This record gives sequence, C-alpha cells and structure tokens, in this order.
Amino acid sequence: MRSVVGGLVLVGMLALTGCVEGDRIPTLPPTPTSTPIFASDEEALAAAEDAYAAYNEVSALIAMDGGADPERIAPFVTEEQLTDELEGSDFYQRNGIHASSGGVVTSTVLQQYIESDGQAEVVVYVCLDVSGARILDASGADVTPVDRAPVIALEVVLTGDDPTSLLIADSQQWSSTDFCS
Amino acid sequence: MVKHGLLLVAGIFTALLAAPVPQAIAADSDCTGAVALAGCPNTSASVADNAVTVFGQESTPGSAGASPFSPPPPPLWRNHQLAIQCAIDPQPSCQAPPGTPTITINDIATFRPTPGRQQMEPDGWTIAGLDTNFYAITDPHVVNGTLLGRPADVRFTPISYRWTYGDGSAAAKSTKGGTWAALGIPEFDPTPTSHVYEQLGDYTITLSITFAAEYRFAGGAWRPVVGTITLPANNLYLRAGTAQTVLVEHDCNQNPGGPGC
Repeated sequence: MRSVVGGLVLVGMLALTGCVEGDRIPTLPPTPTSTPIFASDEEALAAAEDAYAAYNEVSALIAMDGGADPERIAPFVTEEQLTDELEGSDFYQRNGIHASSGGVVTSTVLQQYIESDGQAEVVVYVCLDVSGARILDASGADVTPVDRAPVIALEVVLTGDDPTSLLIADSQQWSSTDFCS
Repeated sequence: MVKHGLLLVAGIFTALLAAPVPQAIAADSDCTGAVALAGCPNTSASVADNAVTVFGQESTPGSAGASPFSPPPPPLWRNHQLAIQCAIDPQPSCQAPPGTPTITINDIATFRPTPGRQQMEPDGWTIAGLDTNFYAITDPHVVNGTLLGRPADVRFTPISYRWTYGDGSAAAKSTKGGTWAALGIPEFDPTPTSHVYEQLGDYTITLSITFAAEYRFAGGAWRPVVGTITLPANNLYLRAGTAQTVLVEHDCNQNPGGPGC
C-alpha cells in the first residue's frame, strides 16, 4: 500500500514538473533601475554620522586655532555652506578668540532621507555637547557666554551622490532639544 | 525709528525686560559647528499687524553674579561679537558693573511689504458686455534691515489677488494679470484677470494683494514665515457704457463736428 501511495506521489510530481516544463511562463527581463544610494534609512543615518564626525573634527580644529586656515573645512561642506563656515571662522579671527576643545556629538536622529536624480539628501538632528568647550581670548581668559546651552541641537542637511562622500549642506540650530536627552 | 519703510524697534536689553520670543513660531538660525561652540544666535519671525517681525536673541559673556544689570548697557553690548571684544579689551564704553550676569540681548525688526497697485484697460471706462482688463503691478521684493547688528532681510512674494468689481461680484486670482499687449491678445478679449460688466453704471474696483514672506539672518538661508500679509492696493473707478457702430463719411480730423467726435 505504502509503495502504491509513493508511486502516485511520484507520478503527480512528475506530472507537475512536466506541466511547468511544457508551459513555461515567459518572464519579463528585469527593468533597469538606478541603484539606490542607500539601501535603508539606517545606512543613510550611518553615512551622515560618519560625514558629520569628520566635519566636526575639522570644525573643532579651526575653532581651537582661532579660525585660522578656515578653508580646511571645504572638503566636508557644499560650496554654499562654505560661505557660512568662513563667516564662522571669521568670527573667531576678528575677536581673537579660540575654543579650548570641540563639541562632542552625543546623539543623532534621522529626520528624513530622500533621493532624487541620483542625489541623496539626508537630514539629521545632531546633539552637540559643547559643555566641555571654553571660549578663550588671546590671554587665555574665559569669555564663554555663561548661559550658553550645554547641548546645542542642530538640524543638519547632508547631500551627495556617493554613500561615502556626503557633504554638509546646511546646519541650523534647532529650537527643541527633546531628542538630545 | 522709521527708515526706508523699515520700522526698527530698538533692543530691550536685559533678560528681566525682555519681551518673550513667541515659541509657537520659533524658527532656527544658521549655526555652524564652530559657531555652536560659542552658542548659536536664536531668531524667529511672526506676522502681525500687516508686517513681519523678526526677533533675535543672543547671549553675551558675563561673569557670575546676582545683581541685575543696571543701568542699561551701552550700545556696544548689543553686538555679540563686540561684547566679546569688550570682554577681551575692556574700554570705558564697555564697562559693566561688577558682578554682571549674562546679558541676554533681544532685538526686534519689523518689515513691511511695499503695497501693490492696479490698473485697467480701457482706463476709466468700459463697454458693458465686453471684457475689462484689470491687472496688478507688484513683484517679489526684499526689504533689508538690521538685527543684533547684523543684516536681516525679509522677502515678500505676492501670491494671490482679490478683486471686488463694484457690481456685487468678486474674484480671487493667483496671477496678477497683464496688459492686453503684454499678453499678446486683442483688446476686449478675456484675460485671466478680466471682468465683464453687464449693467451700465459707475463702479469702484478694489484689489487686495496677499504676500507670503521669508526671512534670513546674517546672510543665512531663507526661512519661511508662518502666515501671510494682505494689503489693499489703490482703488479704480470706471464708467460702463454702450457702444454703437456708426458709418461716417469723414474721420474726426476732417470733420470735427461729426458723430462721435
């Protein structure tokens, strides 16, 4: 009995196979699509974090050097953002002040990631802990604004067409620091 | 102080006297990584009384102390950067009483759009039953000012036009229209902003132009302002009459006393 059932199953399988072989459903060739720059939001956020970390490191160096050689930031920002960066460095130079250290990124939150025409735009909230950075004058006197917030929340826009070379396109203070706690 | 249409309400200096910056419309300002270390300037904008008001708030360095700042600080302290210079190189004009707490500087600048105008074709009269062409004269424009010692600008963009035609009808348009010649169409043809008077009579035409606004601070990016401003343009007056076609022998130069001359 067992062999009869086994034989029927085998015949059935062969019939099914034969049917598929005989009436193969034509499939369309794959539609050519552009490869997304980032496969997921997580990848976009990770790339933004890397890009901001590199930017923040150089930004801190410029502030610690009193705004000297501000063009060092150019490889990390868009041409438009460079204007703002040079103004920021000028602020240090004009006043003869410098920072004792840089800000520390304590957290980043993805606001949105959009991609169009092969160009990615990643918007993230960055929490920058500046509490350890003092603003000092040429004599070393502390001229840090006393009520400067310990953590600055920034809304940062990064753009690029390559996952490894996102550039800072805009950096604005964000009024809420809820996501920094 | 009124200067070139810009109403500047000078700063109120201490935190104790400071007008609160509206939170509901709190906006943000450019702040690079380096500037963030010294604290970012805080700006916001709102619409009220047919004007855009831009608020700026900024803290200056100060030493620990409990006494409120009195008397008010000299003008130099209005500028964050100069305030730091003062901290570096104290001059008589920079002197603050001992134990000066942090100074929060508030500044307000009010910006008003330039009102638009309207014109019509024909000018002052029309023929009942035919299209009268009304059009607005206005363009996007930037009003410049100063906030916290730095440039602040508001850009006004006309976005809608509401006409009342004096005959009980009204229309809201998204285009300002143009002359028949500019639109390239014959006189008395319909235009996006034309109107037909069915009855003979005298009419007053009003136009209100609504502007959207954006602002920027210290050369930063343009940021939208919540709300719009609607301003009236000039009134127009016209008489709608009838037209009759009469075949005459000579033109008016040859026969000034002829029909219609």
